[in-house]
Amino acid sequence: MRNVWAVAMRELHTYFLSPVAYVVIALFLALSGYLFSLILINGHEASLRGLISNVSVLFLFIVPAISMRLMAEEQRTGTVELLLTNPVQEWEIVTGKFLASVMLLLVMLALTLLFPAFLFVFGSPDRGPIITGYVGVFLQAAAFLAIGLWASSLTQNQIVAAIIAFALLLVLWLSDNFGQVLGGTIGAIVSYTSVINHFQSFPQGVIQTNDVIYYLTLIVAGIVLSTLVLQSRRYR
Amino acid sequence: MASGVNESRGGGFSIETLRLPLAALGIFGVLAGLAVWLVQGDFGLAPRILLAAGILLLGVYVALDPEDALSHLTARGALASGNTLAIGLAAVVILGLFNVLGSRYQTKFDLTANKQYTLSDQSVKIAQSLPQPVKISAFLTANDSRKQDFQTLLSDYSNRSGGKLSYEFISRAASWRRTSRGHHRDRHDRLPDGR
Repeated sequence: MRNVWAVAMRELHTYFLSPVAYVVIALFLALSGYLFSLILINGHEASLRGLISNVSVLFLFIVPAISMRLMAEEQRTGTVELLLTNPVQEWEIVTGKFLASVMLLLVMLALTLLFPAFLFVFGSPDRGPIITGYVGVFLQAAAFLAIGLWASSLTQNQIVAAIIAFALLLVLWLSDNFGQVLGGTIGAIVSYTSVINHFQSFPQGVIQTNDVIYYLTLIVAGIVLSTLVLQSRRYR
Repeated sequence: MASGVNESRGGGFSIETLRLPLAALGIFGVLAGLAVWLVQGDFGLAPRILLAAGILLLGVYVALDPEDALSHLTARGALASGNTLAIGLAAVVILGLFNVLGSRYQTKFDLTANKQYTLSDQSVKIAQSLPQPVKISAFLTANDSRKQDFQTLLSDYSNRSGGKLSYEFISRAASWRRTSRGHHRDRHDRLPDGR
């Protein structure tokens, strides 16, 4: 676990040494702030439900930008070979990098706590849906990051990694429509993979265990597949 | 005979050059056959032909040079790739099973202040003691923001009734078609599970 933490800290430092983290955070806060004010002005309701749903869409575009360099850059510069000569296992490298991106995500989400603070100052919103909304956004974005990490492990090119990640996320985003077209058991299975279906109850104030399991599945799958890709480098 | 071998090695047509494309086509045939089988839901003529053609092509690939095919399968890289693939598939299957169990034995935590999405004891009793199947048709406009709220509650009713209560959402446009042309229903308005 100490190795995982060391890799995570190193990766987090790299994020904040480059302008990537600052640009991504600034862009995310500007867009979410704009959406928050727009929804509040139009809805006149002390609720974050609309914002939470829209923020989940924002992450569809932002996550590939965060995850694209995680593994691809190491492979392009050849530092992955150096990393693998250290007494760390592949899963520790992958999990460390995933943890670093999750920490960046937590920073982004922590900065948006200003929005519910405004609601509590000027109104009396229901706390439950705000808490579950944040839980939902965190789980979904973390799952997106795991998929982005896997996409990043497949290539040396950051742009290609971002495009693969975006395409994979888009498939998961639209799979419900495809499932409905297919129909039957196969259609139901395809629809089950839809990230939208599993997200909907969180902004309402409801947490369903199967939705949590779904997102945890994506996270574990992303980490396992990235580890396997990294391991396969040894035999190339 | 010797001249024939020399000809085939000397840049002319060689059956060897066909081996790899045959193997690729064979794998494609098998995968396409399995995909068609899964999508159609029955093992009809098309998947049978695709699978048979794929297996035949793979058989030809092996028959042309069995030693080479065996060496490919037992090479260090191939064994490692096989292991990686097996671990990946095992992980996907195990995670899939977790999801199946999670869907079957799901629990809901309603954190809203007034338990907005939790059925009262009386409602649960009614849902459990329905004497006959009940179908609820909800007529909503396509972008009605309350649809998700209704769906959460109706889904709970449906689960509690043991399948006796089913529901469907019909958009305004679809409902117009339904009333003007008999019982036509827009499949896009149905839920994924067909309820």
